[in-house]
Amino acid sequence: MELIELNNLTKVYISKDLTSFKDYFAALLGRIPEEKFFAVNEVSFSIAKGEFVGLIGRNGAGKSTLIKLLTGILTPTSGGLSVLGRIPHRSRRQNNYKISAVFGQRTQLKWDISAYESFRLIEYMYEMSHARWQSNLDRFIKMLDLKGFVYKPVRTLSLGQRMRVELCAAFLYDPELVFLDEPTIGLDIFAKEVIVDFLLQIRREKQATVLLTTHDVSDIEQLCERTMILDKGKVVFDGNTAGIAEILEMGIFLEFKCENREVKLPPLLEGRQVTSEPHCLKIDGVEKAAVPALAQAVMALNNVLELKVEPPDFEKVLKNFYASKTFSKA
Amino acid sequence: MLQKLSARLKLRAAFARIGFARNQVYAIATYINVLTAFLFVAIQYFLWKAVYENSVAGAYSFKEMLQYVVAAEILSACIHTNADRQLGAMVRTGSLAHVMLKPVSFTEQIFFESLGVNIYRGIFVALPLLLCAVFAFGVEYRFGFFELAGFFALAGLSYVFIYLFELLLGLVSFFSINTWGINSMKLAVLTIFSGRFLPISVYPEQVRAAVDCLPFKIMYFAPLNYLIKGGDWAGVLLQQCLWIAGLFLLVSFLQGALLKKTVIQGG
Repeated sequence: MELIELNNLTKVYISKDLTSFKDYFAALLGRIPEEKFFAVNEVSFSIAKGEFVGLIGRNGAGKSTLIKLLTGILTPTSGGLSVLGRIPHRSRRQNNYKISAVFGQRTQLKWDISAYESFRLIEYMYEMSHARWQSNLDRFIKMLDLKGFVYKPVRTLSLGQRMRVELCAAFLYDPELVFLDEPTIGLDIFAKEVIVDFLLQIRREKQATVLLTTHDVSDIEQLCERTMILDKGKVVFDGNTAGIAEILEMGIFLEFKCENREVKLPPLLEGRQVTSEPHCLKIDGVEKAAVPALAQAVMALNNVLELKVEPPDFEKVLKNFYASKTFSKA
Repeated sequence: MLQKLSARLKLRAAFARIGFARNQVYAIATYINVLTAFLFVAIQYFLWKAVYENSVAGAYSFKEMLQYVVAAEILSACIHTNADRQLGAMVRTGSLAHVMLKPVSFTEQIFFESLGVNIYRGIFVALPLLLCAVFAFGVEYRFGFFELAGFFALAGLSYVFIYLFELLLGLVSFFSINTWGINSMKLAVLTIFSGRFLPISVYPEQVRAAVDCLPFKIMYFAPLNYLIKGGDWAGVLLQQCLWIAGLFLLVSFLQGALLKKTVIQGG
């Protein structure tokens, strides 16, 4: 069964443009025409149980609106939506027992008291058995390495510590669906690693379905097999994370280090993006199938000491992606 | 069924405990509260003493007036849930998104957390005030059992009314985003119409007639006047219940309507 199903979901915000000081008074009298903004525009997709899906989009692409619709905080303007077999804005309270969220820039923990107190609140709030709660807590404290600060007031924690505590709180009650919104924002590599490892573990055990929103594409590369790209309220890409590069044909980057100073170029290279330097030959934008033939041709003419093959950089792929909007029809 | 009820009670107790603990972490504030209490009673004592040496404020004698203003201060320390401020902060900072993801309604969270806050304030603000008034300034608080029981029943209903009233203001701030105007209104209502600073019966005749038509006097004046002057207990109680019922309907309606329109700030 699909955990999330969207069918032509649309959310329209109505706003008024106030350009001058006078407009503020006109607005009071209702004289400024309303403008419609399609934050989410006829979006359809479905997510199965246990999937980890990355959601990418520029600021204002509609990511947050989409998440709010899925959690039932917002009511859609039109279209069909089902989460955990229910319509979220009608059954928000029931769904909440099985939904969880981490918003990187906000905290769900009580500021002045220890994280442990907040965890206890979760035990009662989600009507957990004490044994279940205790075993989850012990496990997560170990996995996220919370031992040193779980009893300290949340306001005294560093950002990295706080995020780990937040994640513990988010997964503590065995939610079926978890929204992670920028969970690694502003973290150093050590805290990030702990969090990514934790999520990988969760993924391996298929404990929860996760929808991950982030600007840090390396998170998505590591965690999500499937990626969706949202732009101007529409899903413009939905598929294999690694497949984005393939579809875009950004191509692979090859670098040959040669013994000979003057690098000889085989005729096969005609029309390709080639940079040749002393002892070095770089070829960019090579499609996967052409790699062996190219490598062979270069090695036949030169004494190659070292060969580097790099898949396209995800960030670069995205940039290219936004630049070439024609791709959305592919 | 019983298990569910017990889980529910435990959750509420946990909210209250958090509200209590939240205040407790600021130890110095507690000491300052005690000092403030002393200063407050001192100011009221000398102020009203000076006033009564030159005139008489209608229905209330000096002794009764002092009883009233100090009791009003004690009551105000532990009767406000500040639901409006809490809700306003949630809307402004966007933490409402998190609160709305819980399987417990935000109104319940606010009510029980502030209950914990008020228990804390009852012990660390109201109690020092009372002790200070009785032992340092000789304010007399000697009441019979039934008077006290009657007072606590009325004060309990005042608590509910204030909670609903503040929740209403908070819900309106949902709609208006800005809470400044709403806060001013709350201040005006509290200062003039509720009997928070003066017994309403000492107001001039016309003002009193106007205030009598409004519900706000049941916040402070109703329970305090009963405690000090006695009177028609059942009548006051009935009045409170009716206003609470009306307010409850209004709040429920607004809550439903406004939640549909929610736009959580930012993010």
